[in-house]
Amino acid sequence: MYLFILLIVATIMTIFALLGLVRVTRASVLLLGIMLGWLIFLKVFGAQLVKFINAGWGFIRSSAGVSSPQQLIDPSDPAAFYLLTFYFAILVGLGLGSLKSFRLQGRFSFSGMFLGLINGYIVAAYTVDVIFPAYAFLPVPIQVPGMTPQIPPPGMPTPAGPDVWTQLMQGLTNLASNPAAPAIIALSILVFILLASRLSGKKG
Amino acid sequence: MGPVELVFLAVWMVFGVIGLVRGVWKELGVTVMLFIGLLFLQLVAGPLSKYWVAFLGVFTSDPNTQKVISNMIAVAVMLIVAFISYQGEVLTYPGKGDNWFFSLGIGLLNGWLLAGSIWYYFDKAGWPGGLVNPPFSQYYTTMVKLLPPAVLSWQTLVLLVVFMMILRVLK
Repeated sequence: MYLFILLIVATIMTIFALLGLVRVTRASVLLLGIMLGWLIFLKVFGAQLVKFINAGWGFIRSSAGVSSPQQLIDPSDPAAFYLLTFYFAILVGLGLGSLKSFRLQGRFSFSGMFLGLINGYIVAAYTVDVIFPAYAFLPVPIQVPGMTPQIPPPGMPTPAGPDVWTQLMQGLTNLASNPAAPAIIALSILVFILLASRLSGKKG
Repeated sequence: MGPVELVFLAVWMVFGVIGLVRGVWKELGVTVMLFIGLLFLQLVAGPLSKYWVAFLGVFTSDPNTQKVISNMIAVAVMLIVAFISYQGEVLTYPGKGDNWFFSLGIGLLNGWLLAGSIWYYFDKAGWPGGLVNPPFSQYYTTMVKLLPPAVLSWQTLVLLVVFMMILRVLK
């Protein structure tokens, strides 16, 4: 089981390392900064963000004449919401890193690749924390309440429970069932298209 | 992972490669067309459903047959929209230069919009023809919740289409 988790981590790290390899180092630094900045924001203001969104959602519902006080994000379990917003921040970072000013002059950037490995590790660690909370054994740079569970020490026997595939699917189902997921997916599409149309080259 | 999921992933990857080859500007035109096609289908399935059901009632009164016909028409609409978009010069965004990251990304987005919609409507129709039968894998049931018609409401699609049109007009 741990081997499978490590395989996922290695894959994500490789992808980010390759991205770092073909861009200037500053692009990887920018992505690292955006990710850490967003994680610090979630650590400090995460609960307030959830409250704010729920309040806004409640206002919209009451304006629409819906009386039941259904919350958009469960404040006791905001992990899936935090992870979605974290991915959104990564997407923004990757998009900004594709700007012309970050274009690599030479062939490869090995310092960018090294930073890409670190970026990939951070992405993988938080993904594992949320999707496989029972196997959250990877150290993370910033503990975000509600997102990073208690860490069992490495080498512990595999916890009893559903197999890895079931857990992965359960994690994805939780993400898909989150009421905020459609809005975040739509917003991600919108931002990605905006970045693609603005940053892909000169308009003719 | 069953055959449906594998086919979907393969088609999705192919669209990513198509995006890389065609470039971001041509792919954005296809994205608009797919958004419009999906918006039309979401409107028919949502606010206009009573008219659509009444229209189908002219041909058959069986609700199950109506459901199958309706969803198969949706599949056909998406395929026709995709064919026209890729075959002709429908809506090309005026841009020069290229960026592999965005070309791949928009290609994958188009693949998700097209292959995902077709999967969704086939699933809603109950896979007519008997080629695919339940029980489905857990991956299947999870992915169905993340397909475009399940995620993008008609209101969201209106916003996306308007946004795309503004992008097309703005210099």
